[in-house]
Amino acid sequence: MRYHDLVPTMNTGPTQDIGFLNPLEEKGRAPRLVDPCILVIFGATGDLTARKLVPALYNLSREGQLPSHFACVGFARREKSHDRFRCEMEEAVRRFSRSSPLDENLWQLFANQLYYHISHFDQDAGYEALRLFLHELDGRLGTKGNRIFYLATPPSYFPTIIQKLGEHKLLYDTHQMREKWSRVVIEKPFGQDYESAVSLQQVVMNHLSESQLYRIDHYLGKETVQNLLIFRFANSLFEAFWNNHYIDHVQITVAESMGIGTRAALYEESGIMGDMIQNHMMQLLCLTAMEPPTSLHSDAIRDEKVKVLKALRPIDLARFEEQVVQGQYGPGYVDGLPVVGYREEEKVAPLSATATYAALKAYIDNWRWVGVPFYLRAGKRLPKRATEIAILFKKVPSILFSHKNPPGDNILVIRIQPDEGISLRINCKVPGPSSPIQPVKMDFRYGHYFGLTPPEAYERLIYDAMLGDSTLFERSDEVLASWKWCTPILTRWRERVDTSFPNYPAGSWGPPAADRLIAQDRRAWRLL
Amino acid sequence: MTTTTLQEALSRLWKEEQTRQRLPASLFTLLLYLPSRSLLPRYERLVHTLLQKIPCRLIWILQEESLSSLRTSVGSLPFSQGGSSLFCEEIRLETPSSLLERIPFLLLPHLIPDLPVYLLWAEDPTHQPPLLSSLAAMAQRVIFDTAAPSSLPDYAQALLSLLDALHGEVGDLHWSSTMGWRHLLATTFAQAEDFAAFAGKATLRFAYTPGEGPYPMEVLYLQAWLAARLSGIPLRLLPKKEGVELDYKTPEGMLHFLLTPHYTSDFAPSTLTDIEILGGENQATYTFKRRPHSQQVFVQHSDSYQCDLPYCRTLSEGGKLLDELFYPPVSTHYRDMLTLLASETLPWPHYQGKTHA
Repeated sequence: MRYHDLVPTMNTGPTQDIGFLNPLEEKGRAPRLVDPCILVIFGATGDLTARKLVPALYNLSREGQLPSHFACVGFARREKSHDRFRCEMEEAVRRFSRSSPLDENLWQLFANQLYYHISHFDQDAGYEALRLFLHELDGRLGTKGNRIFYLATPPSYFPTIIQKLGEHKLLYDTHQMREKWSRVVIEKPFGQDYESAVSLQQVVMNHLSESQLYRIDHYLGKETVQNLLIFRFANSLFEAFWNNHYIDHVQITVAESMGIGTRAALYEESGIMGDMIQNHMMQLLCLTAMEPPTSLHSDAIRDEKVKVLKALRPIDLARFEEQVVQGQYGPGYVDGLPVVGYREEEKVAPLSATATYAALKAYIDNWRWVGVPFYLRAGKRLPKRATEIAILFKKVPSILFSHKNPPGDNILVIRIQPDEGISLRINCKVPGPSSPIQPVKMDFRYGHYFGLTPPEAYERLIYDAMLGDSTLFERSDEVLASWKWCTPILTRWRERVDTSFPNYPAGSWGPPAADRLIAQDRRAWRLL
Repeated sequence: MTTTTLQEALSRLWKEEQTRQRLPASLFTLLLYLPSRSLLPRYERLVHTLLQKIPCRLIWILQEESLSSLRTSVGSLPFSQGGSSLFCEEIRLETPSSLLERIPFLLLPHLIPDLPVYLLWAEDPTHQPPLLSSLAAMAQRVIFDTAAPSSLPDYAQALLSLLDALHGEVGDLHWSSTMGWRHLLATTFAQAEDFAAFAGKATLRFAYTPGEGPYPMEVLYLQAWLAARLSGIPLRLLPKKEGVELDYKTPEGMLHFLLTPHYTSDFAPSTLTDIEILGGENQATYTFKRRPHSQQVFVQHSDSYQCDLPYCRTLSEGGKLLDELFYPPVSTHYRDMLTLLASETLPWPHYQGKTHA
């Protein structure tokens, strides 16, 4: 290959897309190459930046995965200098990075790539100054005009920021994208319901193309969630019984023992629906229920997820209480310590009607899943932090074994966090002359066998956003389809405020109504 | 010791460990062939690093001429990530060369069913003894690691034929050790215009700390890889009193490599410490200087139009057995690199000497 014959670089999207083929790049073995770029974080003084984003960047730098020419600019309204911001981020990385202790030498070099820009989100002068500053950094650092704008702000600021970025020519059009690229990363939730999601989508599409927008659900960055695809589609064994002939029901739990902390403003806006159900829960549901994709290309996978969302049976409003339970935690005990109720949390309205718990019964109306209920529950201030998918199989015919000692259900559990792994409950004979049946677990623990400290989800997601790989990000139709299913539930909650709140003590597994929701089908929630 | 005895020893080991409430854990069986016991410390260190991350059953095959018969032993090794509940089994088979033919039969019953088998071959593969073929037939992948092949072209040629015989399922720890530098060069020369540095006559100076063997394998691999990727055809090799010069003709001009040892205690032996690339049509200069006692490399670039500020990159750590086991096997980059090293145009001196210390 003559390198002077090669097509000049065209950064239309993924780094390894059409154009220049680097003869030094070894595909499949070496880490993929990332273009030089500047990452601008809106909301740089917030929790997410300190806890997740900058530590993720630091670890990417430690692993040699940041591009050779790179800068990170924090954008926020509080007055501070570059050095002050760097000091604060050093403290954050010391506290929150998965790798420790801090590599002092590396930090010195990494910190020199951090900058701070003062402005309000709606201030035109601030965006103009940003544009000039980024241009100056391009010249100094060789970042070639490539930009990622990370919106680590409350969702209500998204339209303003995107509009201002567009107005001040910080986002590139299709023609400009032949030489450089711009991408916007936004955090969930995308909208507060279906209408606001559609409205936000319209605002966004006025300034961006779908390929420039990366909607984060950090669950998709977790190794164990990615392992779901491998587990399902790299093992022929499971596909044979992954359907309504063998599966009795599915339970998906997203439980947190933490309260809302200092995130009252955000949580009052989103509630359990926007915080967990519409995004994390729906992603886990899709990955559990989807058909095998035609390829591992991002769109092929996302196409199958959208099909699941579109096949979800709408909630029957006439039988709402049989399918949906909401809850709000009151005072209680978590890890043996007393905790306040939601309404006593800082900056929460004393009579807040925001749900911190939900349990749902969902059906997917397609050939694979017809008749199989999916029981979904998510909540704050539950007894423990646990996210898992449990597949409960149908019972064997009750012919061979005594009704006094029937075999238990086979249960396949995929533990997303903590104690990541997979277990299968099977029935065995207890050694001895009689034949009592005892369930035992075949258990695979990720940490025991691979032992590697996996990258944090944000490291993977930021890296993929730099590469232009959208596989682990939500597509617009995915988001809108999940909101379409969730919004009638929200509407009902808003129309009929639950006066029983709070209705479960912190540290319990939720309101009694949630137990009745599954018990009416003669089933029970798994004890985690 | 017979196989039955070996099995009995393993059973005793399991029982003993059970009293400590520990279970054996393994994701694969790793066979390690060492032609001499003197190599054991190096590979024990390598295995120790592996067992910090992944559990496996280890079977050592140690050639020891002082022995008159086969000697076997069984033991357990801690698996760091398993806490106190898991351990790894270790089997050692020590044998004189006269009894090597028994080894495949001895270890066959002790390969864990349904899990991969990997072979690490720590000898020059040039001679390809029968034991290599027998063990390679059992393994999903063979990883080679030799400090001092007697003839570099023969060594490269042997690896090329093994690549074909083993259907590409080959790993090479020397190749793996160049991974960090290869990635650094690929990210530095990332755009088409960057390759102007190699047009015309380009001089590439590689400085390294000498090791025990005569060939600085990492450096030789890296220069051959770079030359192969730039479509270089070997023209000339000139051994110097210290180091070597090599010339390659490329479609765009000429590559003149200077491989020079330099003596410093700042780096471990056999470490590539500096790369300097000079010349090209735009008189570009690229300097890569490795920082002592770290994986960081300072990179600086200038040409007739501009002078960039230096920046720092972190070299990914290569030479890890873990990478060679789990990642896809070697690619065409490796094959092309070996093809250049095997070239008869380059009269590499023959060497009769030690392998790793």
